Amino acid sequence: MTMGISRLARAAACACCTLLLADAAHATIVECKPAAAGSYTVFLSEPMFPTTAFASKDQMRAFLQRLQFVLDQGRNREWVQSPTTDVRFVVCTNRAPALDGQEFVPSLIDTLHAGRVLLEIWGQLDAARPPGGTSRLWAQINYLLVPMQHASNLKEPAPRALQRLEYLDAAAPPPGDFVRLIARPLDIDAFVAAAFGFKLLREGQRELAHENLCRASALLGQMVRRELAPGTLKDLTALHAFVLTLASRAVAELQSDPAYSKTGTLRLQHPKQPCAGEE
Amino acid sequence: MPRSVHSSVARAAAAIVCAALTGLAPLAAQAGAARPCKSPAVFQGAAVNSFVLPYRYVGSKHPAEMELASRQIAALAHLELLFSMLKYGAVGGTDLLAEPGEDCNPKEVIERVSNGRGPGVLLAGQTLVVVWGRLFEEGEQLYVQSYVRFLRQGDRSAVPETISIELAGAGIDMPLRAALPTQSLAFPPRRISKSDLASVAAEFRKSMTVRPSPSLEVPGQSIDFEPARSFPYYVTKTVRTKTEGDWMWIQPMTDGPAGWVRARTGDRPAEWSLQRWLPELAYVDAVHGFMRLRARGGEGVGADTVPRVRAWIDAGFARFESAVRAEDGPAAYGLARAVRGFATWQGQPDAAGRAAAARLFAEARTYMPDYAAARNLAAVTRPLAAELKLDAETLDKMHRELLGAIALDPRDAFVLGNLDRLYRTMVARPALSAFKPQELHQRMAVVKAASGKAIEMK
Repeated sequence: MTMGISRLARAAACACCTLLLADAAHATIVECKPAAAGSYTVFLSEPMFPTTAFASKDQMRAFLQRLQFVLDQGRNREWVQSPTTDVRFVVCTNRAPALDGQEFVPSLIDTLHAGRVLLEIWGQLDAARPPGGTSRLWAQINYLLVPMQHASNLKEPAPRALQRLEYLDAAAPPPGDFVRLIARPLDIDAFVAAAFGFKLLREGQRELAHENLCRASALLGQMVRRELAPGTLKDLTALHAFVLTLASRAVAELQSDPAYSKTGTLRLQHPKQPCAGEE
Repeated sequence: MPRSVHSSVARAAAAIVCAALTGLAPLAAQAGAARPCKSPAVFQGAAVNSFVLPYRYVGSKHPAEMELASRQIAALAHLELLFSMLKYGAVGGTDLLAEPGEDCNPKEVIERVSNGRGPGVLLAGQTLVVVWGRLFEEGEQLYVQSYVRFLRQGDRSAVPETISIELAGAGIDMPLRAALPTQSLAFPPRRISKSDLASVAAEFRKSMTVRPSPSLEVPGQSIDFEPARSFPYYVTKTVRTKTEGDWMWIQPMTDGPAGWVRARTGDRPAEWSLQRWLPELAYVDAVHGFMRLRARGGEGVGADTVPRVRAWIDAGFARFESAVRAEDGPAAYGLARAVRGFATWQGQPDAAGRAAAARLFAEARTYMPDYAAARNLAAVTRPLAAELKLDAETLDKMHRELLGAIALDPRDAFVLGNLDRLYRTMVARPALSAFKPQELHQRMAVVKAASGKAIEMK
């Protein structure tokens, strides 16, 4: 069962930080190719890990390949009716950003943004084995919302682009499965919808932006109900509020736009409650 | 992995098409050899048809071995689902095969039987449940991703599963409609080792035993599949006992032993069951039960049978949920509650049943907050969860929730239809409306325009 951040997890996190300090110095960014033209992309970059998590880089890369399979197949709109944004997940071999994302300088963000990359995911993984206790998988995952970072670089209003979530699996059957731990449909869909909605709004596609922003709002509303670390909760709450503000802007701008159809569906919404029905 | 076990089971299963048409004459034309994907056909006497399509291997390592494993998983899933669905009666199962290198596309298969012409296409009221999947290899482990899609045939094409809600009282008569949140689903991927898969295959074959009388104590004869011949069966009679579950007399349409087999009705799958590794098969069994209730408007399902079917539906979903966490498959959890709500709605049409269904729909919404149809379903049934009170506050709340749904999907025909009826009610009863008449008419014009582009069956 996934739990909130317990003392044990915090201890594990600290242990990981110590173990990974050396690795952090070797963080690397190599070029990664987005999915085919016309698609939106999520990059899966290599996480940091001690040998308690994976015995080798090859094992970690096999994990990434499977993660990509799980994420892509689960959202394949060719097969299932799903409201999720149509994105493709791409594994970025040898690309291992630092935990603080220091390599994401404006020029790199520009490249990602131009390549229709919505999100880059990386982080650190560990399998903590406390003395006398059972093995626990732990992950700290970074989600970089590229359109938010792009806006921030241009001094436009934007929430924190780097969202960080911790996952702890207390009942991992051996051998533990990191894919199962982090391939959360709700979390990834929420960030993808938020990033996509923001990008669309900046590009002037207000109706489609509104749909995605309301989807993000619904999913973020579920996420903030979980037991989360205070910093994570603060960042997610701010993102949720920002998304609602954007949805409100989309409604207000369209309703005051003389070119917008008198029978456009956003005429039904109120800017003060842009996604309505969210209690 | 012992290749011999793989090969024999895969080939044997490839030669099976099993028709389980309880109480119906066999339809030899439909029960020939295993059907190729290019020409799928349903059993015309079956209320529920089940298709299992090949599981496609995603990767490039060991293609021959993985093609065999893919074939084996599909064949075992087909047999397991078929023997499990026998208890519902009037069912038919078909294992669809692809030529080497051919991709068996579920959309095309469904299109052929729901929009095609000639024998083997779905008739009005018949239902179809399609299962397919993908396979990924990592060392000795196989990762299996399954999908399900289910539909009911209307007069010309597939129609969505819906319920009609009559909210009446205090001078209001407001007919509303709601559909299931979705009729297709991707299950969370599952892991099975290659050696476990081989064991399941071997044990499954042993377990398929026909007996001269409906008792596990009576020695039986194993159904020995011959790879070179088809093996169609049909069911001619059933026995239901309180202690032994359901027994079916199966009759070969060509060669092979006839006798009693026990359909799978227990709460726990057998040790060898593929369900241990793929709990989505239990989920699909529940979907089969649901579609049995929905097929032909429930015709042929006696009032005494409905509670049993509902219990099996609940058991199937419960088995799935005992193996899969909600955070791994929130949509599966949500749809399960919506389906149970629909079954309750159909089987228990009193106030208590309506309230129970409304509570299940509210739960479905929490698992699927981003599905417009889930929000719609919860919104229009919420007044039934407690004592019905149709006042301005109730209508205002419903209105906000429907706007929340339309914010997620402005093309949803059911949400738009319900908004239209709600606005009409407000026009007729201005005291219950938060809007002035002119604004209501403007809103109705927006809904009317959007309805022209709306979609019922996604």
